[in-house]
Amino acid sequence: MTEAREVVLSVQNLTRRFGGLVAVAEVSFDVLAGEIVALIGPNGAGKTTLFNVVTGVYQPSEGDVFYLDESLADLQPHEICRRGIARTFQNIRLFNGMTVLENVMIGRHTRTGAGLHDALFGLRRHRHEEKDGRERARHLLEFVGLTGQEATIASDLPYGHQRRLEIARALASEPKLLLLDEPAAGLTPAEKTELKELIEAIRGHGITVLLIEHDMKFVMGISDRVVVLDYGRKIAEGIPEEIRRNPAVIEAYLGTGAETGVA
Amino acid sequence: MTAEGGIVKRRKLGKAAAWLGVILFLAWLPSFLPFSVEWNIGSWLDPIWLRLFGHSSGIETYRIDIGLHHATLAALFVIMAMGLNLSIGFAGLLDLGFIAFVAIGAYIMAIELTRVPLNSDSVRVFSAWWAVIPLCIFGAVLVRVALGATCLRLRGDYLAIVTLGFGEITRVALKNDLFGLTGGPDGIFLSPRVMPEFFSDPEPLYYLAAALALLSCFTLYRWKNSRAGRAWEAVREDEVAAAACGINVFRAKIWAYGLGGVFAGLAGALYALHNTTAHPTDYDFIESVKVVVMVVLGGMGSIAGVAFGSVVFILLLEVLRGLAHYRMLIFGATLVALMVFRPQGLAGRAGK
Ligand SMILES: Nc1ncnc2c1ncn2[C@@H]1O[C@H](COP(=O)(O)OP(=O)(O)OP(=O)(O)O)[C@@H](O)[C@H]1O
Ligand SMILES: [Mg+2]
Repeated sequence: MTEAREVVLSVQNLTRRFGGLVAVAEVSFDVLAGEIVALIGPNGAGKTTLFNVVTGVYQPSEGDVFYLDESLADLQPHEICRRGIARTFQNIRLFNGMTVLENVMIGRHTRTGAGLHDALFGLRRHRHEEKDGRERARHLLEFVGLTGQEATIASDLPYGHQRRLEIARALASEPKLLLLDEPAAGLTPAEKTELKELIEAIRGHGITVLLIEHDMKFVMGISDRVVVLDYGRKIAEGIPEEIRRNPAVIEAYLGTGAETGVA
Repeated sequence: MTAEGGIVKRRKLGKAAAWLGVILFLAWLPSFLPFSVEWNIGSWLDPIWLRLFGHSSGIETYRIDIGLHHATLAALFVIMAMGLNLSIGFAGLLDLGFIAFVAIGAYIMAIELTRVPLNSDSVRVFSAWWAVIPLCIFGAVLVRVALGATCLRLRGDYLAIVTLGFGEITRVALKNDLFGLTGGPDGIFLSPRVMPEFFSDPEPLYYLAAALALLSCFTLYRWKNSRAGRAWEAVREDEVAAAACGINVFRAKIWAYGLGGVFAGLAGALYALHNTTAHPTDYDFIESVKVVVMVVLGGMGSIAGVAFGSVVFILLLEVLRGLAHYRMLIFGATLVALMVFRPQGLAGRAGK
């Protein structure tokens, strides 16, 4: 089923320490082109930290991360974005004082290049990119279901819409790989269904998705493969049915007393 | 669609009309100045305890005197405020030493003007004063970029402290005759023999300053709605998210901060000509505070707001001059009230 598909992201023996705390410990896994992979694990398992290392917020302590065979270890976040990895944040990080449209247009930063002089003299490059950028941003807002909100200040949006705006902003950079950190957190069941459809539509556009999620029903329903972390270590990896029955996973979740619906 | 097009067109027309109005206003302003009024206020200004004991402060008339040089001053402060608006308003870099870069521009202008040797009539004939302006700008930008490269990785409060310190160091250095060039505590006086002929009347300087102030506003207006402008605002709002969107945060900050030097150097060059001196006391910490207040008062990031705020601030200082030392009291109270009731400034965007 996964034969001969391109490896988009390859996490190899990744360790990240914070002082004495090992947040991610010798984790390895691959994400193949066109997949939806879920990264799960109890609170504090190191999922967000792994995202942060992939996107250059933190350097790996040991090991490496490869994106299309290029090491990301020494790259800064903006360079990683430029290569085609976009992300959202667990605690939504929008540009709060700016409008919805501006937020998405900032997402296009790496796909545009008009300089200060272009803007000052109103040169063609600036004018073209602004017009084109606005159009594309509108399309993306339509795609995530935020039509008509272009002029709203981002922080005035309801929570669920903020999550979608963050996804639209990430998509604006035309990524190959999209990292979603708990996109369904705090959403109503109806919103979760819409989000599932949205993520599938994103995959439909050829974008590979790696997502962190706690809602097991959501995870099992959407992912091709699941990677499970516990105390920084990878304890399991496989298709949803295998994970559901995996004793180590059940143990990890029951151990924390979390209500996950795994069993 | 067509209705929307019509609205856009009308809005554009409205904007053009507003600009035209501003330009006409500035063009005719000199004919209304100086403006001078005087009221007899008796002992109205005297505090109650003075009156109780039968004393008087001696202030019995209230005068408002506004001359063309105040209009010029306001224009120069608009230029400065635009430069600082780039740092504070756009990129969110709190700079408390901005006036130091204005001083650099002013001193370069003064040094260059007085460097030219006297001719046989013991007059310095240096008509190319305008050619010095790029040098003033270059100097200010250079120092600003150098300072920025070392301290822009600092966050918020630390940056404010470093820039504050730099402002003070600059002032003290100028006062101590830096490189034997800055004339020590007396500064550099630009006597009528040194001043370019062009500025023997006050009008040309006013028109020059007003035109450049407009140009500064226009520049910021263009930058605000551009790729770079949005990147600066993104950095201000959230550095981590900005980086994740592909923005080189440090580079964006250096640009915003360094470009502020263009405005500072330019304003400084004209400020020296306006004051006919480059003097260390003109570049006190309080001057930096003034520019910060203009930017915050007008509404950070808003161009019309900051321009308006600067003019109002300068004129208000003159209008209140008759209050003597109560001036700053009232000023402080006004600022506090403003921050309480309109924390986003006069024209700032509401919201967090
Ligand atoms: N910058 C940091 N400095 C120190 N410790 C950190 C830092 N970031 C994360 N940690 C620690 O690393 C561990 C893993 O945190 P992380 O946020 O990656 O967990 P997570 O799996 O995303 O959990 P959650 O499901 O609650 O979001 C935690 O113990 C956390 O306290
Ligand atoms: Mg997390």
